Amino acid sequence: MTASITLLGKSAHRAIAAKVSVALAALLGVWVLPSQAGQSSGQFPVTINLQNSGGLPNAGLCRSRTSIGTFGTKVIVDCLTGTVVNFSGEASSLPWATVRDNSFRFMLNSYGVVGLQGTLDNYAGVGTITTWRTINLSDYDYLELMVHW
Amino acid sequence: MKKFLISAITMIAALASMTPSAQAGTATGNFNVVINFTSACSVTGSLAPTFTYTSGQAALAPAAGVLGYTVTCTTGVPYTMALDGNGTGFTGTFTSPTGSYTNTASTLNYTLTLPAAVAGTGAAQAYSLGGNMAAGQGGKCTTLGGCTFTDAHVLTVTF
Repeated sequence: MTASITLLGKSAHRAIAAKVSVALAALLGVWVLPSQAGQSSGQFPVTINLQNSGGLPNAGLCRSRTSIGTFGTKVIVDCLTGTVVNFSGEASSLPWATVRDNSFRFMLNSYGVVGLQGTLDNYAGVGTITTWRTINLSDYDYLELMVHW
Repeated sequence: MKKFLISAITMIAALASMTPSAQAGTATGNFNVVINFTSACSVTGSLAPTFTYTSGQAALAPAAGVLGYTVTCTTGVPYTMALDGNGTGFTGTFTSPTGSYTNTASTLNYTLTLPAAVAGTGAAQAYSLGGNMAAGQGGKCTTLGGCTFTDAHVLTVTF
């Protein structure tokens, strides 16, 4: 994206100062140029192309202080900035690899179905959906789930 | 009688030799030529810095796009260049030669740096604007795939 700017400037006329200077010059018999100052200014655009770091926009990853299977852990996720800005717990104690802004699969228990659905690996965990909401964007809707595990 | 005659002839000869002398004179006066000279500067270019940034990226992002522009000032005229502080789409401050800004919509921070100006030469002097976006910023974007933001900055040349 480009935009053109053309800035043309003229000195700010200091008419009174100039007249006084010329008058003094005539009086003193010397040549004095009046000091002049001017400004030229114009706009130019600064463009920022922000790309999401993969996955869904505003994706957040909830992580807990305790191990899998413990309920009631409070997790704070700021989904406006697209990053987890505050969460309690130590990533080193988690049984899975540290993941940020990437896909993370939860093995959700379905009613009437015994056992987990899917394959458990470092990028998956068991959990229970506690809240959910739909996010409506201009050209895209997605479902956001809050999972406790 | 003879002496008288000689004297008379001498006088006549003397009178005959007298001719009016030609005379020339000069008169001089001073006058001033007043030159009201207005110095001027102009800036031309298609300045359009662009930052391409991935949320949370580990490396600093330098500005790309069109960074060059030229300043043409009257020979000998010293001038300075400055950027703005707050403006459309952004907030910030300018402390020469660097301005620090925050794009309001994305919350991304970046800097713009002006080169050192020299006195005018009457010819176009080429300059290049610098810019950086620090690493590790999350930013804010609610559009799938990415967002584009534009800040309208002002470059001022004072002379």
